[in-house]
Amino acid sequence: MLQAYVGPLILLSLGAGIGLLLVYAPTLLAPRRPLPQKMVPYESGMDPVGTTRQRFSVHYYKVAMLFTVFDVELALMYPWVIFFREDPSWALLLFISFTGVLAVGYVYLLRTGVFDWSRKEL
Amino acid sequence: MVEQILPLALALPLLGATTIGLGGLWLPILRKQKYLIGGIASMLVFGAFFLFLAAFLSYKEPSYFAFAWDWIALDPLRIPLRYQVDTLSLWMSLIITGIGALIHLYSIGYMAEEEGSWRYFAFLNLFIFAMLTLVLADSLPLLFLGWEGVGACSYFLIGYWFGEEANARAAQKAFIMNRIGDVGLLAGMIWLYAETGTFDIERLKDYMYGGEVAMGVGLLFFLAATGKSAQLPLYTWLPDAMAGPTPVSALIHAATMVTAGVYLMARMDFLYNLTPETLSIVGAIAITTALLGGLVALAQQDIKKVLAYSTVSQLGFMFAAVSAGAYTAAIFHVFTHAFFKALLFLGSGSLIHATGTQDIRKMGGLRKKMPITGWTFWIGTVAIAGIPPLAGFFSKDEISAAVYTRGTTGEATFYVYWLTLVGVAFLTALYMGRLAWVALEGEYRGEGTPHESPPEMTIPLGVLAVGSIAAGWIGLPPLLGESWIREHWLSQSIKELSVPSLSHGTELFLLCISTIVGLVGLGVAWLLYGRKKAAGDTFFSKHLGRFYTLLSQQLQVDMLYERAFVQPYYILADLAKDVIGPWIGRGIPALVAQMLSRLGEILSRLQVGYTPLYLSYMIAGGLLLLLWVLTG
Amino acid sequence: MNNYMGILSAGWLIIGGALVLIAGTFQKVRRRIPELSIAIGGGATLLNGLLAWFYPLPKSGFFGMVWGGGIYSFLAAGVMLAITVGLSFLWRSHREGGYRGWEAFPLTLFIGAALSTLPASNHLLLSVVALETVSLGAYVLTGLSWENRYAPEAAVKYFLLGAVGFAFLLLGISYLYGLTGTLYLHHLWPMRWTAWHGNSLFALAMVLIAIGILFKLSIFPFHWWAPDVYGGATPSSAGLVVALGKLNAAFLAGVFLHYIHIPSDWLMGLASIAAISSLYGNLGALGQTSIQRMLGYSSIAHGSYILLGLVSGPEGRLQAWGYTLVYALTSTLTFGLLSLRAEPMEYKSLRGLGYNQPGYALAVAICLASLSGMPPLIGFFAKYGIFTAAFRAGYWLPSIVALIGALIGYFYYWRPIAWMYQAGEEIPIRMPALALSTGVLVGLGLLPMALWGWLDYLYGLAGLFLPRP
Repeated sequence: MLQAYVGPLILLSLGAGIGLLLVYAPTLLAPRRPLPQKMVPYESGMDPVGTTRQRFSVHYYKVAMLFTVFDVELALMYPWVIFFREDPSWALLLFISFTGVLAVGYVYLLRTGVFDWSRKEL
Repeated sequence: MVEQILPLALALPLLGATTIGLGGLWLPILRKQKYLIGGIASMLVFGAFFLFLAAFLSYKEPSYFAFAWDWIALDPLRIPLRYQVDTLSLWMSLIITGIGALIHLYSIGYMAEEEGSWRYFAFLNLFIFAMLTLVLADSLPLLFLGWEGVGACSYFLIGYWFGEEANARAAQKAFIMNRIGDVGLLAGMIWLYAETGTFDIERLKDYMYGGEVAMGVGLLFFLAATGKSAQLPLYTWLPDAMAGPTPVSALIHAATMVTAGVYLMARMDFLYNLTPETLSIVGAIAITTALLGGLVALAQQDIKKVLAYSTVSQLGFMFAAVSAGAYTAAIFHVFTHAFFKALLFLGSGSLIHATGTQDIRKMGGLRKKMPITGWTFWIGTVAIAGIPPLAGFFSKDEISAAVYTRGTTGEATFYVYWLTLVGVAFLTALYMGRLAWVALEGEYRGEGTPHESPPEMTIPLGVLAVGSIAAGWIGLPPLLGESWIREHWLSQSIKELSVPSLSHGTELFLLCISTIVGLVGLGVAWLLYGRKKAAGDTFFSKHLGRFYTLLSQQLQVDMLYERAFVQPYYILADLAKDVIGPWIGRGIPALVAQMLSRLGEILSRLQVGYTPLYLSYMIAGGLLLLLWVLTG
Repeated sequence: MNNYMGILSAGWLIIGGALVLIAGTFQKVRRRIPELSIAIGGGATLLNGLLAWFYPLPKSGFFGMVWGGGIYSFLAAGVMLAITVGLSFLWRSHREGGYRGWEAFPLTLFIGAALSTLPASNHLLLSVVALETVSLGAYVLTGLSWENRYAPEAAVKYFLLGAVGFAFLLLGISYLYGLTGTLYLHHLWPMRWTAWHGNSLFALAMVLIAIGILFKLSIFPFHWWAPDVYGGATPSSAGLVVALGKLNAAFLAGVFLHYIHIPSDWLMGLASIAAISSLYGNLGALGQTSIQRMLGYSSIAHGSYILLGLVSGPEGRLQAWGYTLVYALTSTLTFGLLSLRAEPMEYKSLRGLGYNQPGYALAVAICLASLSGMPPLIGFFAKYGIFTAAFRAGYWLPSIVALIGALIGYFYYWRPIAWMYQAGEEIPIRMPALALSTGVLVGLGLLPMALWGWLDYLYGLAGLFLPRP
């Protein structure tokens, strides 16, 4: 009964071990020259000091859409490549329609001025 | 082939009703196009008529048309949207669409000066649809839908001029009277369903009924018929229904809708054939109604009231035929009556249109001024009076022969019925002769100069006049030939009560009686009204005295009903308002409501609006669920 | 043709939505967007209706991933009808709001594409994508308001809790995949499910999936978001949001329960949860003073009736689908009609409406009465179907408890109606509602049973009544 879980357990401990190793290896190996700026935790470029209840721009959702357009598209290209060998013409048609849908999102973002970083209100 | 286009025939009037109704409602600009609206409405009904005519010409055997899905699907109760086309329903459909189309055409002229004629035509088309649903329905609930549909249309059209309170009241009266009858139809329907487990008319036929079920359901259906077809004691709405436009009176309150009760009983022939006792009761009521209608018609001065009571009386004839088990004779009379009564109503509409009054004392001499209306009105009068070879003679003679035949089987009361019918036939000829002579002959007594109506009104009159002359020839008595309608057509779907056939001698005797009675009636009318210039009313009031006054007051039935039913109802309503309401109605429910409301408030306090808390509730709930599944 | 029936309407809606999305970025055509969207939505309704009419027998297509025609097109037509009604109410509020947040229109069209594919999906991946597309759209629709400050809060709450619920569902489906090795639903059907019934992994998968679905249906104890979200959502789209959640869950659960055999005592447990939920939702709604919040609470109760139908065998699932379609349409209409007024959604503000705006008030009253289950309105037949199916499936006690809940429901649904017919001063509303109320009358009063019969007929044709092998 328990033997069935041996495999997953090994997998789990391996995963945890590698993760911990990668986190703590630099503290042993890398040279350390701490500066006040360096000691500040990373918060996606925002100032981490101050109240936690602060407002941030809703601009983010459009950036997230950009991410979807440019990144998820790439991720989907891997399985597509495999499928391309099976049925090239279908695969081409599928990819054209898929990028077509993404292109619509891209055009929308372009038209609403998402690349105009200096704009405050949206 | 033809069955496939029949759904279209049903859909055309519905299409008209919706397009005209919604168009008139939303596009006020359309309301001005009266000829367009009337034209569309008429064309659609004509279209439906021609489709039914095609189905009639190619008719071979009963068939069905249906939608693939059901109207009501609440297991185990399933009511399909299915319509049956047999000889009876097809015949009724032909009458409805044929007469209906002519009356639509007539209405274009009659309603030309009305502002809201779109409303009128929308309801008239809807009526045709509902009536077709009624006669074509293959199950009782669908029939009931049509039954209520025609009732609603009748209500809307009686109250067409709702600006006047009297009209609105007449509409309400018709509606409520009909509801009383409808209770009978509904109760009978439910009783049948409880007994047999089906609403399907074809399947109901195969069931073996006990005597009390057949009698109970039969009487309940007859109650429905007394409401819709204006028999005693529910007939009083029909004379009041004359508040609607005259073509409506012609179509709904004379030719088609009021015959729905006759149709229902003919359709349910299998129930009535089982219990002749029920039919005797039907007969007694029918005969009384016929007599009463004929007597009251004699003393009315309003042309439409005369015709309304005449309709009540003629409907009594039809039910007398039903009571003799001669359903085909009843339907045959429905057919001929539709022609001459529609003709008479449309003619009276033409007269009213020209003179601006409904009082026959202010008419007179109109045949010379309006020759087409005048002559066709005379044809209708002679037809309803039962003079051969016009239509009314054949159907009335068939009815009286059928009632007489029932008498020969040992049911002595039917001899009395027959004798009364002969008397009513005499009365019919008398009051119709009175109407024609007073309104059409002599000198004009009203104001202005009446003119003949426009062709869209006179053409239907002409067509109906031809029908009133010839419609009876399809039902010749056995002595003269063969009754096509009975032997070759309706017998396919109606099973009559079997009675022995009469000897030729008796038949000849009955034919002669019918003819003589009609001629004598017209003759007396001529003596009293034609020769001596409307002296008949003074003659009657001198010799009949108070009875004649009572007749002219329509026997004061309305007042009687007011005292007997309406006033007690008000007392009951006051009781409910003052006693039951405050004490029982408010106290206990208020207490329960208070308690529940408090509980609700307590519960809604759990809802604090804090998301992490919600999340932990959810996780806890999930864990509980998992625990239950894994252990249980 | 047959092969592409399943994606015809989705394709139409996606292309139409894309068109609307691009067109809306041009200032000049922006004001024409609502009409265009309504035309596209109405077209999809018509298209699906015609497909259901002409192809009553459903066909599988597109690599066997999606069904088309028959009942699937019928359901899609019902969904698109509700969405088109929702769009027409959005139009009104946007015309006054200067088309800020016009993205709601293409978004709703995309939602329609996903939601009409959901019941027809034959592949769990497609189901999940469709489900989440609808949910994401619903989160945005909830908060897309510049006037109502509660709306963004409601949207964030909905999003956070909804993401957790969806995670449960996804985890459950991944376990199911691990157990069976397939994502095709028709492969799941012939499996010997009774062999799995003792398996604790199967139990875990089912519980996780159940949490996801119960969350979407807002069943106690996973309902906490519902009153806050529905009560705070933008009024013009709140009805649509409520409808989307219910449709999502009912379609997914219906398909699941058709293909996977669940032990009967678990089903009994779900029925009991439904009964408790009905009591909770109805009692909670009693104490409210705002109509929108009351409708939010009552959505818990409606979810419980749907759940009760879903667990009551094939016939119950049919009734549950019908009920959900009816509820979606009625709630969209009710919220939409109420959002036409400028006043807050308090009972008190309805005072005198019945005399000032008789047509409008009648329409609202009919909608509320139908929601309460008043015969002869369609809501009654929907409830009747659910409860007869539940009784026939043997859930006596849960059905009776849920019925008591429904009885309590009458009280709070009729309270706004009572307010409307009390005398008060005249308050103008934003549009003449006569045309609309005529539509409501015809739609809810006359046709329902024939449509119900049609649904029933198509359900049978699709083989969804068939017993399992």
